[in-house]
Amino acid sequence: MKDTCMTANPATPARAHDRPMLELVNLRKSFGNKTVLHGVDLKVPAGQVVSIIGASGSGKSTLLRCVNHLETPDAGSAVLIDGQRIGGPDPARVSRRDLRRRRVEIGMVFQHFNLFPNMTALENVMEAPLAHRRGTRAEIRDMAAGLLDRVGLADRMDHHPGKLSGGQQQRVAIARALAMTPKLMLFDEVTSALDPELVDDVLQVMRQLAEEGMTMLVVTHEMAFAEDVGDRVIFMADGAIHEDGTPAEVLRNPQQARTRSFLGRAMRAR
Amino acid sequence: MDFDLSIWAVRGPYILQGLWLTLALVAGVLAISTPLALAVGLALEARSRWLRAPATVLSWMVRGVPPLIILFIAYYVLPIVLDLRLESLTAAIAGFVVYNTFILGEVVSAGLRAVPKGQHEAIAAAGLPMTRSLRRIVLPQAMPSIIPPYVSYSMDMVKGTALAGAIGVTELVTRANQAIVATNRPFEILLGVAIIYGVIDAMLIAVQMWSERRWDHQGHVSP
Amino acid sequence: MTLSIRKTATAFAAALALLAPLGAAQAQGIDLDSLEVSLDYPDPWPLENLIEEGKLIIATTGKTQKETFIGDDGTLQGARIDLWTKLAEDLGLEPEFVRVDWSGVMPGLAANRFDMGCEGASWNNDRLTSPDFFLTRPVKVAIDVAVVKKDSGIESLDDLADAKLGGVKGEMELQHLLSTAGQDETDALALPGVTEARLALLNGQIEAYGTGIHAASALLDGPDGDQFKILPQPTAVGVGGFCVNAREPDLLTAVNFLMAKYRTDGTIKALNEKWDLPDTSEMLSVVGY
Repeated sequence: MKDTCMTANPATPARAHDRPMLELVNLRKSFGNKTVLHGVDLKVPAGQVVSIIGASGSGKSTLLRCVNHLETPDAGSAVLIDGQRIGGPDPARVSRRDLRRRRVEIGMVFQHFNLFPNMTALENVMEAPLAHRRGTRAEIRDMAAGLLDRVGLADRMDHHPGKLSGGQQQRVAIARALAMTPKLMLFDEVTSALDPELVDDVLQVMRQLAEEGMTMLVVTHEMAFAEDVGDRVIFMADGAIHEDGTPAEVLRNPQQARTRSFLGRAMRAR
Repeated sequence: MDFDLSIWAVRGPYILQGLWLTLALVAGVLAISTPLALAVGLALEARSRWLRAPATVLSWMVRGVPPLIILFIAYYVLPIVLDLRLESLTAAIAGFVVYNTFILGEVVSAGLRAVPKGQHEAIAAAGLPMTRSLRRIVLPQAMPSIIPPYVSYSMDMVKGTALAGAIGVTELVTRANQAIVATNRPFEILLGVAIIYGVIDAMLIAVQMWSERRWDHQGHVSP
Repeated sequence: MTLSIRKTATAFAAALALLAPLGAAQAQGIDLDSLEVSLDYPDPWPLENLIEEGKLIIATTGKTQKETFIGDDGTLQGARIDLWTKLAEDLGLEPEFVRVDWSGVMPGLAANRFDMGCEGASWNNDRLTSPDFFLTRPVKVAIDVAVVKKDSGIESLDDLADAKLGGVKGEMELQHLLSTAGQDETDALALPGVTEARLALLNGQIEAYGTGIHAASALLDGPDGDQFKILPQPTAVGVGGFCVNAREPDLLTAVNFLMAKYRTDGTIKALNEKWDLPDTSEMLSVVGY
């Protein structure tokens, strides 16, 4: 664990917006005859924190899950990470090896944490580096312990998930996702399942991560987070990006009526 | 009719030799069919249609055939079609292994389905290798759903081994029947056999309780 | 009890004997009765088609009292076991007994698992023409009878028309009882074994039990045997023999020869007496054996 850098990825310069970390080209996805993504284009420079907002069913979670192929895009996508193209032109024909390489470079945090219940917090964080032989057991243990310390759970390392609160579990999940030193982090409504008083601890960890220059795609209902932490806000509806700009542009001065209507409802709900 | 358990003093040793044969049969079948059932269970849940479809059809076919017929096939049909003459015990083990592999395969498959989808997504998202994750994450969580039906089917199997008598395995019930014919004391002998089965069942229940403690409700492996 | 069985069997024997030629034979001054008929045979008997060389594999149920059953010492024994053991020895072979249910004996012969089987299969059209096995010379006259309880009021076959009938599933003896009583198979209680049939008769679940004279005599000798009686007329009289694997015609010849020898030299009769079985071997001459 390098002293202040939580991501153990000191090479990433903070707010280096010059080179694209992720590029989605004409990404399409349908479930049965329901089209969820209508050819989405998106370019995310390294170090940018992108908040994706929109009503449920707007396709924002599917977009996120297409990035690491938890959902296989139907067509048109080329996902580029750090300038490197992974997989061929047909998204359905990505080899297992390419897929694994892509997924190792992309960390993901889920709404319901999805921690491994049969392992302690520490073992959860150690699992992927151990499986990918990222060092000796002792080195990996130290690295994992360091990550848990960063998310404020140094004293909970030997607890099983069942003995942790939702907020603690989600912070373990973030540490787990960081353990493979990803270049990109995906957050899928990570605070939606938490009791309100537990949300802040998780957001604090994400804020810290953003400040360290991690490239982040954050599907969220937390407008305050989008406004304070995000560099960019995307509003999605009906499987397409309807508005894309700085938090101030999108949240304070939306161009489209449906964005205004969504924001009106979201703000009232707060 | 007088009731006289002293018949067991004379016939007990012979009948109990059948008990060892019954237990050997059960142990042999479980030892072979458990790993095979794991493979079948995984095939039934595989993403690849080329694994899943044949496993599903085969499982459906084998489970639809009464085990006695499978034993008859192993003992009486294989010699004709394959010129393969298995010994009675070998044929019985082979027949029961085929049947139990698919019965237990469905148990494994149901256990795997009981593992939440989120776990598979977490494994996929972390790029974790399949075999290792199966061993370290998925199966430990599937165990609590697998153990009770697994033990319950094993109990069925213990009783089902009596069918092996039809192809010349002189197991417990066969020997009991022989003793009944020779002594005309059905009640004393059947009562004794029922008690023996009861003891085996009790032992299996103990195994089940021990396993359930070992894999608690969260799939956490206790030391 | 044994006495009454003997009487019954003797009565049948006497009835059958009426059909047999009576008196000592005389021809051209040679006293035929004092002739020693040559029964030499090759030793060892060359058998080309045995399943396993040097072995005679015999299927038996091990569930017929006095004929083939497990004794107190846990070994397979009985009149048929003794006979088969002698047969194997006379052929220079080691006998190997495989214990299977009756339902498995004929499939096993068809599947080439056994060289021989059947402890006394009644001859019938299906069996005589089966492509799966040969029937040997008979070892017994199969006398099928009906056993009833003494207090049932059933005195003759004529009283069976409305009685509840039963027997062992798949046995010819049950079929014969049903056809004698003019009843349909669906009305009968078909039980898995001799023990169950005995209990069903004792408990009144059936009123008449169709079985062979051998099993009937065992029944009357067994516990509560004094509650039963055998109706005086048989339901059918036929013969029963062993079965030989259809792939082994040379074995059939050998067995048939030795059966003739055992019938002639009194081996069969002696074994029946040793195991207290009703001896019908003398009656076999009635049917030309």
